[in-house]
Amino acid sequence: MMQSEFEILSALVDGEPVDPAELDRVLALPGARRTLVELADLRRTFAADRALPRPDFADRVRPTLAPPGSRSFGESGWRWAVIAAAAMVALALLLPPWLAPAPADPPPPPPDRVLRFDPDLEWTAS
Amino acid sequence: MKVMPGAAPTLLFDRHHLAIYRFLLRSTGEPETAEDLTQEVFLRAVRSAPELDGDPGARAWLFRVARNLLIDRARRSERRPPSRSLETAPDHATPGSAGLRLELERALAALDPTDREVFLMSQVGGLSYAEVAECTGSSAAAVRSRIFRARCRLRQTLSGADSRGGG
Repeated sequence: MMQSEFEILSALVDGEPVDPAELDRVLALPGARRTLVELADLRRTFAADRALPRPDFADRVRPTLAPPGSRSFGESGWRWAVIAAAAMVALALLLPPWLAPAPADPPPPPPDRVLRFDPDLEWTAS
Repeated sequence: MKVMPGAAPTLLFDRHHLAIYRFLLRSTGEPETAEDLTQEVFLRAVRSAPELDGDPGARAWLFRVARNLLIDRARRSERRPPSRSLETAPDHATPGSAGLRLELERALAALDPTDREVFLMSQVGGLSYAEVAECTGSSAAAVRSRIFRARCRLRQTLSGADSRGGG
């Protein structure tokens, strides 16, 4: 087991700030040089971890990371609202005449002759 | 939580996903689980802090989320049978002999869980002691001690493996 005094060497190989005076003292201890080499070797072993996810992992994840507000037309829900509105317009334009609503009655034409009725007149007499 | 203006979440993903994945892989021993949890880390980043970017604090934030996911997973797994162990899990691409990889995984599995977590964040995730301390809610001095203790144990385990392997 390494001496606890060698903790500073562990921090040193990780690039952490260390107290130079303490480092100087510890490096003078027996076994310090060997411990430093072993710690460096252990660090190298784990830093060499190059495990990778499956090759398509990043391509699968990236599209899911777009913030909701910035999604493209094709990805967002309002695409369906636009499609539905367009479909309704098209349906209205193509509706068969018998299904279309009846047009309103046209206004009456202006009179070209006015007949006056007089109740006191005996209109049956010639 | 600190929210920083800037780059798109995909840039954050491109920058940090491998470190997060490796940390989760070595913590769970399950490549598929590590992928799922990695994706969840970044989805939470999008939901919780859409403007999180390449600020140095972003990396620690992502590892804290990863750690929380591991804690949740550990709680859930208490109620179900264990899956593949850390010692036997394969990964998709780690150089080196299978024997060495297995010895390393066994040595990691033998660590105290908190020491292992701190060690992996630093050595596999690449976090500084200060960042690990921020993620785990401890001090940099405690992180330094834990990493040294983990190294002592790893050296002990691996040298035992060497002597067994060497006859």
